[in-house]
Amino acid sequence: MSVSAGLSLGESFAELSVSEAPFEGSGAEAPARSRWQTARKSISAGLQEAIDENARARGGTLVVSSWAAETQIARRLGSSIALVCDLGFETWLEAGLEAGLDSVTEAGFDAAAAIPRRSSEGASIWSPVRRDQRIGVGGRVRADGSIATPLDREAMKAAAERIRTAGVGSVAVCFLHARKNPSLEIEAAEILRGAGLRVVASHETPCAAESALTGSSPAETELERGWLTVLSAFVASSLAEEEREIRSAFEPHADLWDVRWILADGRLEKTPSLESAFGLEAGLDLAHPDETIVHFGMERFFIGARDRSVRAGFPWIRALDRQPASPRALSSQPLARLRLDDSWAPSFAFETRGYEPGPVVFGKSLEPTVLDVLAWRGRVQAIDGLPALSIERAGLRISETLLALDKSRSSSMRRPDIDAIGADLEALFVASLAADLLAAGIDGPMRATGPLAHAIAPLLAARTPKWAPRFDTSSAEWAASTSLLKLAIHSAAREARA
Amino acid sequence: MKNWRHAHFEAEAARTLLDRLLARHRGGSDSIGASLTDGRALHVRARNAVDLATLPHAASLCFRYLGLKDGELAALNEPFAGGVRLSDVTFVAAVSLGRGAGPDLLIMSRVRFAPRLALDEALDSEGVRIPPTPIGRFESPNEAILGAIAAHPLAPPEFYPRAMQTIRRLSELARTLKAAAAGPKPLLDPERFESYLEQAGAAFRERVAKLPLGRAVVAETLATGETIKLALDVREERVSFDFAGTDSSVSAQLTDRATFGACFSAACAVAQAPIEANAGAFACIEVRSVPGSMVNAKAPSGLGRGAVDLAAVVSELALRAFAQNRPTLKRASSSVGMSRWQIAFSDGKRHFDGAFGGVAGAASPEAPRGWSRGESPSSIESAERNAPVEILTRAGRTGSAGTGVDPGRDGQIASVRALAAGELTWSLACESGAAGGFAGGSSGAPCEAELIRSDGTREPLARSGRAAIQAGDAFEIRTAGGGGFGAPARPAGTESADA
Repeated sequence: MSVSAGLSLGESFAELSVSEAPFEGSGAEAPARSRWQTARKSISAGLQEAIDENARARGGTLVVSSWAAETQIARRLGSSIALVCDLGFETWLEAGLEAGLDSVTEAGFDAAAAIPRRSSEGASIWSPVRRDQRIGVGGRVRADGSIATPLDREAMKAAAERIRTAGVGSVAVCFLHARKNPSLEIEAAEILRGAGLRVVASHETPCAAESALTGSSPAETELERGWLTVLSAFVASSLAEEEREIRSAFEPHADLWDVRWILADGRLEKTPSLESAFGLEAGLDLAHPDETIVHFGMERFFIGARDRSVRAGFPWIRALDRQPASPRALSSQPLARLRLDDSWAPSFAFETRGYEPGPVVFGKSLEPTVLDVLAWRGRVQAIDGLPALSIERAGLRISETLLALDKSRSSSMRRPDIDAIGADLEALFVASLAADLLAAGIDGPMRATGPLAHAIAPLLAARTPKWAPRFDTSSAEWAASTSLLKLAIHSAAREARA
Repeated sequence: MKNWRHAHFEAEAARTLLDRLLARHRGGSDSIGASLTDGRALHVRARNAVDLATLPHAASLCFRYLGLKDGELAALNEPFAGGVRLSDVTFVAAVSLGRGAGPDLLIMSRVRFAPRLALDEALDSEGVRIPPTPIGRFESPNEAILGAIAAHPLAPPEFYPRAMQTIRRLSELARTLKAAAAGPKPLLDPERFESYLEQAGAAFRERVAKLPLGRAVVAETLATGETIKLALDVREERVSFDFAGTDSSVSAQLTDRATFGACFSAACAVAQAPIEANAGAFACIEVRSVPGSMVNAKAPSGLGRGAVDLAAVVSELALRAFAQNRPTLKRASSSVGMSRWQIAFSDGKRHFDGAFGGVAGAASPEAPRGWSRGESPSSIESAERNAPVEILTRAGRTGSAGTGVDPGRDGQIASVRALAAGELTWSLACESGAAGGFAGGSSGAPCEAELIRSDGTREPLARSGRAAIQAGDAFEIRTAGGGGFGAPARPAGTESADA
């Protein structure tokens, strides 16, 4: 019997989920068992473990997706890149970004859109391309697709040489009206590749479903296309390395597993590609297209769209959301967290700075996160015999922040009874999360995945029965497999490697 | 737990929900909001400062005069009825959350169309005027009325499809709001709206308390010779802006609510506050002005330029006033406002575009730079598809900013070539002169515009005007750079003799 498995190569973890129900639409509600191997080179070991545990399995379909690209963008980990574009438009990306892209920011109200900007925000928007690496080349396509000016090949060759000697990792090529007529881009890319450069051309990027500038559909502009191209080039070099590493990990199991990489539009392909790096969350059950997959991750939850036709281009726009023009821009659809700002005003802000610096229970920071609330409330459990989590520390930090909050509001110095307010905190967190789901358009059954799914999904279901998750949360094995302790072990191991 | 902390958390949850719902249902460049039926803003997600207080006002007037019921829609753009300028159309809908007989909420969305650049001072030349007008229901918009508006010679060509799209968005928002308010544990409870506004007000008062206390008096004389005077008074938990002594103007005006938005946003910038754009926060701000002055325009004054340029000037002036009482807020001058141009062709097609100048250098990262946006520059590809033009350049104007310890930011260069004969109309930003430096920083380069004929002849252009152009002629603008702050350090080995 074949099984179905999903492998998610996330920001912090590689999570492998194995289900006895194949993807072919049998509709069987078999519980999924999850194991993860947090180091990339252990993916192979994880697969072997999954095979060993299911003695009946003769392999199956493994769907792989990776968040690596978005992680690199959010953390600015990509390589040095160059941009080749129409002469005279070398800086239009920045101007356009300042003007329009805050309209798709999901991290709350973008004050910068409507009010005088702070000096720090008035600084240049982060661009992956240094100004000296933006090269305009003669050549122009008209709006109707005809060629107004052919490509200046000599200038293009000179640019290629200049870029090559600068040691750039990838080149983004974006000419106006390339969707209408990509010939200039094709010609430019040919010259650049001839010089040994890795090229990402705008006409090859998925078309955005909706314009970030006007909100109309379909109305992709050169702005979305240009930024997608630049971001793709930004991650292309390092992703190529990752792809080699992952492919080699799967080779020993090639006979047993049909490995497919999921693309941004839900299609599966045999070999990994840049598109798969922006792929959907693994575990997407293609046999149930009417379902919504909600992945409750460590620092965010992610929602898989039901309508894959709308999905096309969406992760690319989400990638634009990650532009870290300000710390707020690092969030996408994160878990709510308890946060106090400089005025000690509390908020369940839908913000997170990702996995860094991390929860108090991991000993990584002093700022309580929702994970700390869950741990302190006993919603996530440690495995006996293994090192304990800093749950007491988490509770203490929560108590201290609430005490500071009280100080700002009253003269009372009494330490708040955190046990009394604990249930309220949890209830409000769940309400906030439910609001976020509702705001994202989810109003029905969901399939929950992710390391915190077992802790959060039941809380949501208790509040709103229609959101009862489709997995067996009563399974001790399930709980153990996604226990917080394993996350802590991973964290410590990662620190040691660093 | 019914203490203040619980109320604050619930208020925060409600704010977050509203904010995310509004964000999700907002079109690309639109402003969106929700308000109570008595006109008090519940939450506004504004694209521009001028929308903050005008949007709820527009909704309130529609509800009051049209008696909107659950699911009913209205539209308006009348600037003296809550609008801003004729190119911005507001759509309003009433929503019942099931708690009473009438609607509980008004939701509104303001759609930005490319403005019609008019040099005449009369409002009617800026576009079709739409007073508060009922336009049907979500499930059955009045296509006849919308079609009639769209057929007006001055209506934006894309009015009808954008209107229908906006109505769909509002319909989805209404459905989601109803879902949020349903059930035994509603995520949105109308009975808690008062508490929510109270909490928002309390939170904003705390931030206002951190503003530099005291009075400050500033004035700005525009290039046209008119003067804006502002007396700022910051007390604990309240900020007053008094514009007594401000001139009237024939070139740029703002309604009082638009002026309020500009002042409120400046206060937020200085207070480092995320904008709680609702009635609770608004109550901390007081704006006084004389009716008929340029910051409290009376009908039928033209408002197109004011909505973009004058609002920025008011914000800039307010920031300067705050800086008088806190040195870390001091800054050089920014080039405020937007320079705009349009080319009208004989076949009815029209190209419109704009560019901003550079912002100022400042004493510290704490100081806002006074930069605001009126409308987004258009897509190059869209512009070339929609009219017979070729965009030649759109780039930063390198070297245009004033130097300083904290230099200003560069202006922009934009140029467009007409591919057919037409009429060019242009209007440079209110303050197109050089943005001054401060404390030893140098001024930025001034704004310049030229008409470049097909034979290469360059004709410098005045601040505004019209010109007939032929195919092959081009318009080029180089916007002003921002002023620099602080004297730059001298290079080593160049110490003065008295050092």
